[in-house]
Amino acid sequence: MTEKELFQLVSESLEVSVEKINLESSQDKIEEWDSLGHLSILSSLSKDLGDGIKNVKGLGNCESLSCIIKILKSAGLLE
Amino acid sequence: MIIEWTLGSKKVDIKKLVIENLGESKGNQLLEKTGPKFLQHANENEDSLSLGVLALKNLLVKLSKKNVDLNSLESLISVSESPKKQIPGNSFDYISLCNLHDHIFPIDINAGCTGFVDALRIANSLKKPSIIITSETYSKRIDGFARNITPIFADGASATYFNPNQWTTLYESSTIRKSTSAAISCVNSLGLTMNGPEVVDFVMGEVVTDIEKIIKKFQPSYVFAHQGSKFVVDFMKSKLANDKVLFPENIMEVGNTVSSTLPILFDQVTKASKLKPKTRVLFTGFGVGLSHSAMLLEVN
Repeated sequence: MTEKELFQLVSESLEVSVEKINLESSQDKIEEWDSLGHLSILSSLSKDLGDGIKNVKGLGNCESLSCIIKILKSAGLLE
Repeated sequence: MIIEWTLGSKKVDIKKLVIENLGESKGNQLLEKTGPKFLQHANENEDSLSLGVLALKNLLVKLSKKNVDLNSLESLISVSESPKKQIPGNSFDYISLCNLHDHIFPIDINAGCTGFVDALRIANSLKKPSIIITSETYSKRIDGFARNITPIFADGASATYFNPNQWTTLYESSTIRKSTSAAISCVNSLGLTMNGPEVVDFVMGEVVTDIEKIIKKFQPSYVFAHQGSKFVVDFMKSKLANDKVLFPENIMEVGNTVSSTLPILFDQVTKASKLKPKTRVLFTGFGVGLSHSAMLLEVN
């Protein structure tokens, strides 16, 4: 998965325009990113990343896109 | 296993409640993830002990009809995070109120969604049969509407007669994710909270990995998994179910009754179709802790 694809995934999960998604995006800055929105992100990631997601810990506690990027990159799941 | 169970007697219209609190659009989005449109809660006169007693009395009637010798019972294991009294646990009252024999070994376990499996593991380590009672009333731990909790949890109790001589244990395990006890917690009587994404993160990680290994090694016919929410059940089925492994579910009809989800589900399935000898059954409970308990049994 690329960062661009991740932005698209987060945008679709939260049902917000992709233009609103950037490296600064977080639960504080996007109203739609509540716990329900976060579940949607996790659900979409599990579909897109398949079995790779099982070895990734800590996504549930991420409150920002930079946190998600950091975890996925360290697991080798993001280019 | 012989099982009886009961739910709280108050029917709650969850869909109406969710939409009143979140609006039509957000409410329906939430219900797609949580599942049930209606749930049974305990009424003002019901508590974990009264629900447990009801399930136990029904079980004793059933055992009597099957000529089970109640004097052979070695232990009564009560699982609840909401015991009626702080001291002692519900087990002593179950024994007295249902007039079980004087030498039964009372055990109380403070456990959530792993509780039935934890109790099974204890009962299985004993030589004689035990009764396991799970009972929970989470609705009494919430003040008003809590979007992560109200749409999921139902109140209920189960009573299970378990004879270790009728089963062979093939596998058992516990997994704990350290420093996550706050993910589902209650620090005062009305303060139940749950971090849904953190729980899902645990399920997607350790829980699915554990179960996948067990399925691969032992190929059970049934996986009875804790009914956490529709989202969790759907996710686990998508990762683990196949044409050789049945993955029963009842989250939409019953909701999440915490430690009672597994005995209720097992009873519903085995009432419809009796298990044959050599059938392998995996029980997997996960949640509060965060923890995961698994036990794989084979019918003798």
